[in-house]
This record gives sequence, C-alpha cells and structure tokens, in this order.
Amino acid sequence: MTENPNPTRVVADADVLAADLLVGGEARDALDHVRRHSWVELLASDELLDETERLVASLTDADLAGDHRARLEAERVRVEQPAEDHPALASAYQGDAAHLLSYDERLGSAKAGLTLQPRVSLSIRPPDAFATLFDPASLYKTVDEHSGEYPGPDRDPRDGKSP
Amino acid sequence: MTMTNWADLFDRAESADVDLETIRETLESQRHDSSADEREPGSDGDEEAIDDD
Repeated sequence: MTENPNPTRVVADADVLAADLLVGGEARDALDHVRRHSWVELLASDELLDETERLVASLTDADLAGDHRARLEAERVRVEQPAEDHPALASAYQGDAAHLLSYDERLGSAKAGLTLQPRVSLSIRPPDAFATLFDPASLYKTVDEHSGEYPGPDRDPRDGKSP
Repeated sequence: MTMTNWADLFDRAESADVDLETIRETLESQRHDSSADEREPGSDGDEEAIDDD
C-alpha cells in the first residue's frame, strides 16, 4: 500500500446501491454527496452492476432493476476487474478509489482473496460514516483543475444534470 | 431514448417494502449461490460417464 488513492473516487457496494434505491436514509445521503458533485466519481465494474441488478430484481422487479442499472451505467466510471474477484473491492482497487461504502463489516479482511493485491490504501466505511465525514470543501482543493474556494454543489442529485 | 432520473426511480421504489436487513441477507445468499456455482461445474452427473458397459 504505497500509492495514494484518488480521494474523489468512490465505490459503493451492491448493498449500498440497492439501499440507496429501496430504503433511502444514510445510503441515499452518502450517494447524494457523490451525485451533487460532477468531480466526485462513482466507480463500478460491470460485475458490480450485474450483482446490483440481480439484487434489486430479486427484491422488486426486473423493470425497476434494469432502469436502476441504466442510470448507474450512465453515471459511473467503468473499471475492469478480474471476473472472480469481489465486485466492489475489485472496483475500488482497480480504479484507485479512496472510498468504499459497504454495510459488510468483513470486507476489510476480504482483500486477501483478490487476484491482484491492493497497492493503494482504501477506506471502507458504512455510508453513514462517509456521509458524516464527507467534506466537499477540502476535497475540492485536491482536484488539480480546481482553483479558488469550493463553489458548492454543481449537480442536481435527482436528475444528474448541472443547474 | 429517455433515461429514468433518480427522482422517478426513488418514487417507483417506494412501493417496495424492503429494509436493510433484507437487502443484506439477499446479497449474502446471492453471493453464496454464485460461489457454489463456480465450485461445481460438472460435478453433478460425472458418475454417468463411468457407466460404460
């Protein structure tokens, strides 16, 4: 773990993506932070989207699961991963993400099973912790293209468009 | 093609009576099933190949 991860890259595990859609609460609060800022990237592999779509479909119906996947596909940054690896962990490590949101407390120890061993440090947190600690003003300054003070959110979290 | 926005998705999802515990359990079960599938290709029915004579 010698390289610095990108602090503006976030991965949400399938349980958090499904909870954002179906439960709301802290999962939605956390992902709203991501959706509000065009410069905060949500990373996901195809395998992570497959897993999420399967999960949502089994809890609701295929139409909603398919539309949810299409929305995620439009907004995510796609990363490749070894097919046999844990989708969320692999998405995070393959994409040099700094944050992985998950309700699975055992995920930290699961990285030993990855095909490619992690080179970067990764913060694995439940969404409520991420939502509480998310500090867009200080994060804004870490982006090379940004100068000046944090101007506030630049996207509507409900339709994905800039105002 | 019109992409469904988040507001519409959340509206449609409201009718689903799902809690976090159910999501976690369903995901666990899904992962367990898929890892079992990966371990078992061709393990069922191998015995039939011996039935030669």
